[in-house]
Amino acid sequence: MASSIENNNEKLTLKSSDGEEFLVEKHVALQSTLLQNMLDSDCSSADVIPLPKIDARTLALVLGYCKKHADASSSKQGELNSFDSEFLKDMDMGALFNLVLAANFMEIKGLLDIAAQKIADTIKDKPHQEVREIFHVENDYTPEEEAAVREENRWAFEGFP
Amino acid sequence: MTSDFSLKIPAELEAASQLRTAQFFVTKRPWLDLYGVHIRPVAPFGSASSKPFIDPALLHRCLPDELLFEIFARMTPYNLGKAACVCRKWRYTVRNPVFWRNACLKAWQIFGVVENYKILQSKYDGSWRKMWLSRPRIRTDGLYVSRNTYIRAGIAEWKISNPVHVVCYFRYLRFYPSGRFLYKNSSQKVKDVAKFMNFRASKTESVHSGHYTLSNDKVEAAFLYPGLRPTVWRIRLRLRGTMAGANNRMDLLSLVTSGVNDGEVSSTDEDILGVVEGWQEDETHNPDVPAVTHKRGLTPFVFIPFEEILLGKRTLTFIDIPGRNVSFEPASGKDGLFCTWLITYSIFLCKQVVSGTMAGANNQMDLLSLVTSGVIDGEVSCPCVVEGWQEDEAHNLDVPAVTYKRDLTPLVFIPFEGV
Repeated sequence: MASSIENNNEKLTLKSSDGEEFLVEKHVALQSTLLQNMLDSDCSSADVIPLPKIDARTLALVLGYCKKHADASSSKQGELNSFDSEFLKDMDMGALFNLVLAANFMEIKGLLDIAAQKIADTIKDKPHQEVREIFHVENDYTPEEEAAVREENRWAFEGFP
Repeated sequence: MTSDFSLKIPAELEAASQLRTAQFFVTKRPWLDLYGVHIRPVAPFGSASSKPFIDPALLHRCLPDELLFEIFARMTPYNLGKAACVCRKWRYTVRNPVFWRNACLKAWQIFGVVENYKILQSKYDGSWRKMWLSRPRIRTDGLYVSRNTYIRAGIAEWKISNPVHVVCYFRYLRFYPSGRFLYKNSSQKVKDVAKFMNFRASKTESVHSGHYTLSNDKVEAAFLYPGLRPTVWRIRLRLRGTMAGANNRMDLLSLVTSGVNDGEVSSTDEDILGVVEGWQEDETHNPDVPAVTHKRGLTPFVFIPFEEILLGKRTLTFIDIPGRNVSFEPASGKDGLFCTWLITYSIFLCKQVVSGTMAGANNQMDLLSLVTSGVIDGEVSCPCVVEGWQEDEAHNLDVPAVTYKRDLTPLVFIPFEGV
């Protein structure tokens, strides 16, 4: 059960909401402020750290991100930037939402930034109907209300149909 | 990366959504919190009570309010304004003053944080959003463009028409939140100029940089033409908008060039605005370079956001109408007079009604409408081609019909002997 300590390379086990376990190196886990605080306060010195909000697929992505950022030295900022943009490329909305949630829960600032930015970029410049479809948002305005809201925000629409 | 991802809905929530009683949802369900699911106990803003109380949206089910906040925090104020129109919840979230505070402090950063807080309290009842919408603001996410033309006579041919050339040039202004600005005067179009309107522009592009100040709706800006006779270029502008909060126009109040002496220039390379502060309009400090107040090419500036320029949208088409060969030909209509000018592929149509200050005088014309619209190549040969067209009709999709709403004062007749 307990994670074995091999050489000086400490490892932790993280458990996803659907029960999968991930063995990660400590310096990778430290990318997460949540895990860092847990390790500092020594409340998880034992075995498995459960992450009940994060499913296995998302956790695998998160740990991939953490590993890249933990291993790359700070001098390789350009490389990291291109990794970041490649990382989110072609990712569907459901996966992005889960990533944002996970990054927020695990307190991984960089990942939260890029994932939330990616969603924000998807919203902007899209016609409302399209935005509603992408996000499965229901238009709960009455036609009169919608006209009033549009009028209120007309300044933001210049040049848009 | 993962395209086969499917959303998992917690079993508890699925079961709950089957229940009819609203009471169920008011109770706190800690296991739902575990999944980041926030159920709104009350339907937002009085939507029909028969509706289910669960917000059916994927985003809302997946993303708690604070994460919707994280997303909105990464959008521009313009995109926030658009997002507010999507649904009630988004509109409500967009109202969060934090977004508008950040936008305001960035937009008016040259005033400093403390001063902005003072203005917030004294003028805008402590509402950042109100400040964003009401306080005159220089837009920094695009170019202000002033399209100017002058007419040059062409060579008369055997035809009845008199060809003239409309020479067209643009003044371009780009402002930065830091208090610096760039200026370029060019006949090149917006799209071509936008590429190098930045501080990396090479000398050959002749993009000038200087500083500006904003005081209420008045903008003052100045830069220095270097050279043997250093000349300072000063402009005064007034901000306004075609609607509240748009800030998409600038009226050109004055444009002056005047000489500065060497001592004034060498000390401050950049802050030439400080040097000329308080100068009279006709003031010059170098007798070789007299002060000149420019009286031509003072068309108001129109704001065009970068994204429109980059996407090649042509919402402000009149900016793009090429000024070239124009021929003047009058034509008469039935119950009034029509004057048409052909501006290659774009037609200028002016409809007037003759009236008089007394019977038989016929000394006034009311301007009923003034429209420009696109024509296609084959139509151009005949000036009467627009007869019967609707006001918003255009035959060239690149040149949509524009109905002018300004400067429609009645025309007054002045006999030649009076002149």
